[in-house]
Amino acid sequence: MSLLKSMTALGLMATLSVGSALAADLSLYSDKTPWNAGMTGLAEIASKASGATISLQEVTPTDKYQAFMQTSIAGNNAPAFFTWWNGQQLSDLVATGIAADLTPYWDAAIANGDYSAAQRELVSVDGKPYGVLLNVANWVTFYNTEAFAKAGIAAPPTTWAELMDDCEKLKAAGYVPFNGPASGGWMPFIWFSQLVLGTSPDAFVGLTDGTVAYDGPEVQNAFKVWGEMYAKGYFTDPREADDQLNFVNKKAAMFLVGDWHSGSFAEAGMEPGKDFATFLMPPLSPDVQQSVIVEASPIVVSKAALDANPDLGKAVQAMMGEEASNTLGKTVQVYNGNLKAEAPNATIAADKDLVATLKPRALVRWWEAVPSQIQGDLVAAMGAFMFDPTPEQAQKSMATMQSINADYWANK
Amino acid sequence: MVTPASPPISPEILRDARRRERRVAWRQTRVAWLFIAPAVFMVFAFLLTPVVFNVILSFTKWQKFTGLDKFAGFANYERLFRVPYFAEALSNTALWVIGAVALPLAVGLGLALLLRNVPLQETFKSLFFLPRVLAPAAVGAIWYYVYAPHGVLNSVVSGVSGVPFDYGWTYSPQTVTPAVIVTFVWQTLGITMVLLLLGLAAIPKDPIEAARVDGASQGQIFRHIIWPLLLPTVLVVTILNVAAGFTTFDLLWVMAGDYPGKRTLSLAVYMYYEAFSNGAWAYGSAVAVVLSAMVITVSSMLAVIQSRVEKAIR
Repeated sequence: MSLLKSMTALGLMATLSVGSALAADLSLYSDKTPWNAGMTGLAEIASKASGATISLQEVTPTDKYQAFMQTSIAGNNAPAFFTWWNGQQLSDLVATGIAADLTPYWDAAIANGDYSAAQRELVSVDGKPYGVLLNVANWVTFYNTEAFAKAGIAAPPTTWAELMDDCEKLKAAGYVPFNGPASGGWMPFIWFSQLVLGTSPDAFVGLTDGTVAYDGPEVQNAFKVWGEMYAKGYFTDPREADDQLNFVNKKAAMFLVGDWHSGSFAEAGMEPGKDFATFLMPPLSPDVQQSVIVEASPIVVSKAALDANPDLGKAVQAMMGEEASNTLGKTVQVYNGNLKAEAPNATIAADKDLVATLKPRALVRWWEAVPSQIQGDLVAAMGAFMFDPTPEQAQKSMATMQSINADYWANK
Repeated sequence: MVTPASPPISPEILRDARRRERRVAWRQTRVAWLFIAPAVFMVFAFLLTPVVFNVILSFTKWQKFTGLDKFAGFANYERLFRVPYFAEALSNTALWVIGAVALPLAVGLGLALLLRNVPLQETFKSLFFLPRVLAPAAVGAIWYYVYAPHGVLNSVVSGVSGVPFDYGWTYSPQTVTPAVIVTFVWQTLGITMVLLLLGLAAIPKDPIEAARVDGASQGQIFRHIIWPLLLPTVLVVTILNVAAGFTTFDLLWVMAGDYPGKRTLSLAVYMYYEAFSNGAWAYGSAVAVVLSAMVITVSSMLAVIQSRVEKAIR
């Protein structure tokens, strides 16, 4: 009997200790592998501030991360902290009630001069902020300075005609003008959305709210230009799984992507501002307004976790502080928008100046703006075109996309 | 001699005996239930309940994080016929089932007949069976590199032709399904061959010998004796391969991970994509119901044919 009692006591102790360990051990989930060092630093800062042990958990690629998060949230098992997307994606998440309203923390951060009210809007749904900013990036075109010099290009292009002219010069100098991977389950939307944006920023917005058709004239034009660029050999093989390989190995001279990528290039041995610089992709026609896509990635905090452990509020405050921003900047060269923090590198500093000078129309990235229920299906149709960039496939992709789009909005 | 009549059994004794019998029977029933209870529990908890739950889900509006409590009627089933990807997934699944049944059966039967009475037959059988012991995900990973643009297959073609060749076998809608079917056949050939060999071993030798004595050719012996007697085994293999063909997921997922249209490669992949990637849980459930109905229908039809064939043979 005494043995039974001892065993029961041991079992209870073990259960309690496991329970208390689980209560203190919290996770910060992310799909952003290249930023692991920065995210780990962020988790350490948050842990120190709150007293909880917050560790980074990585799930990649993006489509698998989304599947994982959806099942976790659907199973009422959302992690305490996790990276997410703003725009429509955040609205969908907020509708579930699992995201904590971070208004008090944002109010304090704005009062402290860390952030502006405009930045708060990037992670707000119906006026309330639901995320800590992890990244605020402008979508720019990176170019290899050596390639431009070898091709005799003195300054980055400011018009579409100049860009096409430069592409020919780069080809003549032995470079593929653009790195164009289709990897990660999301990259095919980059050129599609950029070419629609360059055709008509209003149509770009219309695509995301159901008012513009995916086989309409603006999209037809985008696919036409995209196909012509493929026909001229302006893109690298979309089958390359390493999204930046062809840019860092100098096979491709340019890469259209968010300026958060500058850290990855630096990690691969390229020096920001010296080996590469950036310019804003010009519109397809001079009479179209210059635009820039702004990408903001939030870290969402679980309401249940915050309610259960109010000390996690200190973790939120710490992640919004200058130290956290500088940690991200120094480790992975990602800028989270903190106004007191230093720009992580010369390229990001230059981008901020470029945007301040040109004053382009800022738009939320297509990925975040489009309804998340059809996002993956639409990207698949864009990807199909990248692997077979013919006019026939373009028509097929547009018909498929419009069918999905029309079905979604008709049944919403 | 008159035998004395046995004394009549009193009704009390009879009642006691019956009561005892009932008690024993009841005890035996309880013991039997005790033994089968874990299995019954497992079947209900992990098979039937999820199946029923899945069917219920397919009539809801559960999408992404919301709508589980909203009734959708047949909307998810109607959507199957509206969106473009379902038809493509369905036709690819049909191709899969035909390929997964016909090719392993044809090649497996040929090998089984060939390896019946040859030297080192056990070694050959083991060699052909070897891929079966590998996990499908591992097989997919290996064959991914066979079909990669700079993989084994293209290197061989380049070497033979002398012209650089980097065709993306798993990137093109024309070749991705056949490429994965070839891998499936490579992996399932061994088990098909072994099952057919067992079927062949069970065929009595007497009718074959008698036919030979009567001067029948090998072709006639196969057509009129071996094939009819092997038919029940062929039907079992067909049922197994039909189910595998309908539900294959891992090979497709691993081998065609970079193919943008991978969601359409089969209904199983489409179901996963809609539910887990798009968050269309209810719609994904409807796809699962349709897929299950197809597997059950085809398998049941084959089972009926199999039982009729067996009856005819007997």
